[in-house]
Amino acid sequence: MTTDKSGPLPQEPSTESPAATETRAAQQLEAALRQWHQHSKQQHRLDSAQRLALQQLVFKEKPLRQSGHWQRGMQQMVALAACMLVLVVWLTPPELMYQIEQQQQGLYTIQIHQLAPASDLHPSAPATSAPTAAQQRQQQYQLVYQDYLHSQQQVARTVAVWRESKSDGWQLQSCDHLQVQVQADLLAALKQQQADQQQWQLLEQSRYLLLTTGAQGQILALKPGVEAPHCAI
Amino acid sequence: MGWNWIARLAVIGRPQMAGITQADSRLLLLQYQQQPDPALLQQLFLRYADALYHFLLKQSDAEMAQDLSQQAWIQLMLHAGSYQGQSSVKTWLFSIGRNLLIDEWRRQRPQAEQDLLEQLPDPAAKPLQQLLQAEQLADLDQAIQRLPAVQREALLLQLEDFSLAQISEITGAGAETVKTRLRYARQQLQHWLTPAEEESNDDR
Repeated sequence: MTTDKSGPLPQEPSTESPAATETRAAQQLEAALRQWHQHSKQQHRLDSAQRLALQQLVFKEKPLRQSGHWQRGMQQMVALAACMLVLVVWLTPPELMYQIEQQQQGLYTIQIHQLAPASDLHPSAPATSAPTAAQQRQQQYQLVYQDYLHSQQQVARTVAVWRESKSDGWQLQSCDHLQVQVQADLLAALKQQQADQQQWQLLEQSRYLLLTTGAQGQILALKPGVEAPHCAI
Repeated sequence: MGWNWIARLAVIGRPQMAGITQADSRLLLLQYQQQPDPALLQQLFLRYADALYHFLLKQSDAEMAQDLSQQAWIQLMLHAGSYQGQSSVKTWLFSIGRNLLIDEWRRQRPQAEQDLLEQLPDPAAKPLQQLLQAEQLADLDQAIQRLPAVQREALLLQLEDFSLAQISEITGAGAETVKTRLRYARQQLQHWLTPAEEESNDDR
């Protein structure tokens, strides 16, 4: 910082070169600006009443976002999950529903997991006034929400399975002679809903999977398995 | 005449700063992220409240400066979690204050925003002759007030000891633009504060 303590400046002779005059003027301006700034800051400070009022106003406010990084991360994940749930509701075609068909072939119980038109599952109801778009969305939301609640309430079961790719989907087989066929259309829907496609690629590459099903046998989760199922002989 | 009036200004010492450095400020805010103790912010407040208030005051009025100061501190507190420590706390705080000021300008005078940012105020606001004859500190203050807002802003920030890079960060303008604004501001002040007589002598 430059301050001028030398008292009044002597008048420069008029023979001073223009460059020197310019430099001198610039230095004087700089000194003046610094002095003005300091003087102005001293004159225009928050007085004690203002300061107190400001501090009370500011620091009595409760910080809204004072959590640590991991907490913010959790909040973001919850928000993301909520968005995904909404997205799933919106993206799920209203005419298709998750269907499990069960067949018995000798020792094996074969489950076929697929998406089927809702009209196939529910005979057409008597014609009533068509629901509005908002009502349809509300109904879909209720369905998904009920499914969600259901899946949360029921005890999930996880089994290790072998995975085999077929032309029409995946065939999963567990130790207890359960065969699960996941049809290509259901796989495509699951893949679409998968936020992390790398995770999905791991599933596709994995020979073994961990299959989690709900009480009604519906697939809740698929994870890559690290080792083959250990079957009791 | 000429620059002799400068010598009449009282030499005022640097205002006493609260005893924390820029690095301390950074640490304080990072610490606040982990443990939101208002006492930590109080220390920052003690250090920067007056500087921010002055910066805002010189571009608005006392009421608005106080109001914006309050908002700026609240913003800083609410968004403390997003502070990465890359810029200094003071730079960050002034950026917040500046954005609030511009928002306020937009709210109050949307049509005049461009004028505020780019155009010269009316030079006839104070007769030039009157200014040239004055030898008071207030004249420099008035001359600074007459500068275009962007030049005044850059000058105030530089006087607040921000570097070119920091001014650039606060204002969102390129470093070259900031340099140009500062040069024009000084040229303009020189022009206003140098008596016509002396100017014509210099031109010879």
